[in-house]
Formats: sequence, structure tokens, C-alpha cells
Amino acid sequence: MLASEIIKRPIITEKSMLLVEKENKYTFSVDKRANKVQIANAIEELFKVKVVKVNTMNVTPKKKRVGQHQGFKPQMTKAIVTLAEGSKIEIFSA
Amino acid sequence: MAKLDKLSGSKVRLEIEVTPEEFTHGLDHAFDKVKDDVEVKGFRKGKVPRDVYEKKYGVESLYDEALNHVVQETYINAVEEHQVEVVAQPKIDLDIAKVGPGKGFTYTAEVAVKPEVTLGEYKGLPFAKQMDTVTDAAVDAEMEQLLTQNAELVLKEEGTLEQGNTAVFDFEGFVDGEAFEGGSAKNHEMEIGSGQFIPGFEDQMIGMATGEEKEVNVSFPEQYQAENLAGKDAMFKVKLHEIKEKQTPELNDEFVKGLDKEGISTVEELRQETKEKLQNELVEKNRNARVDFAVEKATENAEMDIPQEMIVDEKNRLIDNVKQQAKQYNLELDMYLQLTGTNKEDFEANMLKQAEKSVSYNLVIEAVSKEEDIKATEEEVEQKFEEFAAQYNMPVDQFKAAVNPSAIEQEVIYRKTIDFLVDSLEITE
Repeated sequence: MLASEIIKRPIITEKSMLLVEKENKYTFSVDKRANKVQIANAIEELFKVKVVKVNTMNVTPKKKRVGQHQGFKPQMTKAIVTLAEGSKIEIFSA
Repeated sequence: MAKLDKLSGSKVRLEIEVTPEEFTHGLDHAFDKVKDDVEVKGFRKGKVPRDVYEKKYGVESLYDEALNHVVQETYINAVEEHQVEVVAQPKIDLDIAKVGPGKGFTYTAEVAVKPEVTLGEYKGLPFAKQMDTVTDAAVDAEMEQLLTQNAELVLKEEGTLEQGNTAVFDFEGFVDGEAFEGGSAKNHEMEIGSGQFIPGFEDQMIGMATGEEKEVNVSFPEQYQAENLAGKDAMFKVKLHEIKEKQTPELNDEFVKGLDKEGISTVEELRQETKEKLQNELVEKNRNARVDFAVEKATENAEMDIPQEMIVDEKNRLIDNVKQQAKQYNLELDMYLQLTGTNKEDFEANMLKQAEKSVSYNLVIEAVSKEEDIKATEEEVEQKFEEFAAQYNMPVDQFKAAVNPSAIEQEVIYRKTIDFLVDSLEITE
């Protein structure tokens, strides 16, 4: 898989910003088929940084109802990537 | 830092420099202000970090607020630095293209200031001597008026209806042979010559005797409030019941006692009291005339360039005052103007004239007080406080807390200056 296929988008929320600030951990939404090693490599390749650790979790889809139609929010895998000291990813830029 | 240029028309231009630090501070302030209202997905309201906000909306979105803040602050500093006495809102001229984060810039502010007054002649102006004693004739006239006011209506047994008499009568009006609404009444009381009725009606009643019946033919005026009657001929059947005439009481001690005034029981005492009252009124009137004259002349002789803004401000203040007054009668301004018989344009023009006058008077008086070094002593200010407190029915302490002492001081200086101007008048025979 290509690095750009594995990493879908950064997750920028209050919580994720806090992790960046305190622990140098960056949160992304990633392809659910990718494993931790692939994610680490992809991040290193895309952002030219050194990855120390990757934690992943599956986010269970939430039920969403629009009128009488029942649906779901998309499933996603969240990956929290710990970078080596001194490494930074600009798009979060905090 | 700011540079000051004097312009014509009592205006100054301030060239004000804003340092990068000041502008950065302004941006911080602006973000502080907007952040509570910004919503970005993933963040609770008011919790958006500065860089996330800037990425989404751009730094430029903060400029408005930041410039407002910075300009306000630096402008006030500049005004203080140069000791400018500003009288209006400044006109700010700022080139937005020069503004950027981390950069300084300069802008100009043009503002109207209190004009410099060049005083002309104001001391020892000639003033024609005023009549300052009350004549006996004036007292007589006053007494006469008092008697007429206390006149009583007495039934006239004999004779006919004359001008000035009051008639009690029935009437019934017909237009084109038909009675109309509001055209009849019983036992109506009216003074002949008071002009209450349609022109001609009262005249035709003169000469009638008690109990007499008469037909009065009149035509309604073209401008009559009831439109269906305007301009029509009408016939009124009139029956006169009573004639009353005015009887003025005789001026004697009996009458004086009837007035029930404290400490006054004889004609002589009443005359004395009236004379004193008239004397006081005259003194007051004379003084007012002298004040008007002195201030007006001093203003005429002075030269100054009053900025339009000052006059307009004063005008708006005056109009507000009138509005307040109107409100006390539960009236809108427009209604009030209608009732007092003016239209809006005349009223505004009038107010503008008044504003011009009062602004120039104030400036001249201020200039004179400076020129003559008129100051208010502490006792005088204290006394004024007490006076005002009494006027507003407030305890002195409470009044003092509510009012700026410098305003009172100004008031005292103002009064003293007017006294000075009036006292300096050269009275000529």
C-alpha cells in the first residue's frame, strides 16, 4: 500500500491538540487494513520524521438517524503516533 | 509616538506611529475577544487554539478588531501627549495595505479641537443706564389688574346685552332648515366678545333683553373644523335667559382682607407689597439684560473659528432636552412641534442658531476667565454644592458623590466671570 493510501487525514480536536502539546503524539485517521509498522513507515515517509511508537484503535461506527432513515457514521481506525523527541509535524503546528 | 500639525478651522492632524509590538498586542486582544464566539469542529466553543483559528479564518479576520483597539489606544495616548482639547470624534485615515502581522505602521487622525479665542474688547463696555425704580403708575396698573381678576359676575336686572357681559341662553342651529349635530344647547354660558362662537354670532346677540327670542343668521367660515358645515349658511334660534355683568370689587381694606395674604390687611400694605414685588422683578430683569448685553458684546468682539462638530453636538444636546421636556407631557417630538406650531426644519434651524450662540458664549466666557485669572475658591465650590444639593433635594454628601467636583468648579468660575463682565460695564446716562 502507498503511504498516502494508509494515512487518510489528521484528526485535529481539542484532545488531539493536547496530546501534541504534552506528549508529542500525533493522531491520524488511517486505513483499517494497515498495521502499525506500515503506519509508522508511512508517517516517516510522508512527514520526514522519526516515529517511536504507534497505537491504533478501531472507532466503532455510531448510529445516525436522518428522519426515518437509519444509517451509520463511517467506520475508521485511529492511530496515535508517538514521534521521537525533536520531531514535529507541521500541519498540527502547535 | 505622534506628530502634531495644526490645520485651519480649529482642526489638528495627528500623525501616529504604531510599533510592531503594539499591533501584535492588538491582534492578541482581538483574538481574545472573538475566540469565545468561534466554533470549529473538534473543539468546544471558546477552546479553539490561536493557530487553528488563523489557519481556518486567516489572520486578516482579526485586523478590524485589532486596528480598532490599537487605534483607540494610540490615539488617546497621542491626544494626551500633545495636550489636545478634542471636541469631536476624529477622522482616522489608515492605509490597510501597510498593515501586516509583525509590522508597524503609521496613520493620521484629523480631529476638531477647542478653538482658540482671540478676545476683543470685553471690559468696560458702555451700557445705557436702565430705569431702576418702580413708578406709581405701574403699581396702579398692577392693582387694576388684580381687581379685574377678582371681578364677580352679577345678574343684570335691567338693560340689554352689552359687550363684555355674559349671556346665559339656549340655542338651536339649522342648516338648510334642518337641525345639525352639536348645533344646540340649553343654558349655555358665554362672554360676549370672547370669540367662542362663529364670527358674527355674538355681535348679533348684542342688544337683546332678558327673555327675548331672536333668530341669528350666520355662515360658517370656510375653514371650519367640521367639514360638513364649513362655508354653509346657518340660522340659530336663540333664547336669552339671563344677562350677567362683571362687577369689579372696590379697592378697600375689606377686599384686601378677602385676598387672605399673610401680614397684609390694608390697601396701603398691599400697595407696598406690590411695589416691592415689582421692584424685585425689575432688578432681575435689568440684571438679565446686562448679562445678555455684556456676554453678547464680548462675543461679538472676539474672534474664533468654531468647528462645525462642536455646534452640531450642542444642537443635538438641545434637541434632546426638548425631547425630554416633551416626554414629560407624554408627547413625541413631532407631536410637540406640531402643538407649538413649528415644523421640523424651522425647529432644527432655530436650535442650530441657539447652539452656535451658546457654544460661542461659553468659549468667550472661558477665555475671559483665563485672561482675568478667575478662580473658584474651595468655599465657593462648597457653597455651590450645598445650593445644588438643596435644589435637587439631596443630602450634600450624596450629591457630592454623584457629581464631579470639577464640573461644579467650572460652574462657579462661569458665574464669577459673568459677574465680572457685568460689573465691568460702564453705565452711561
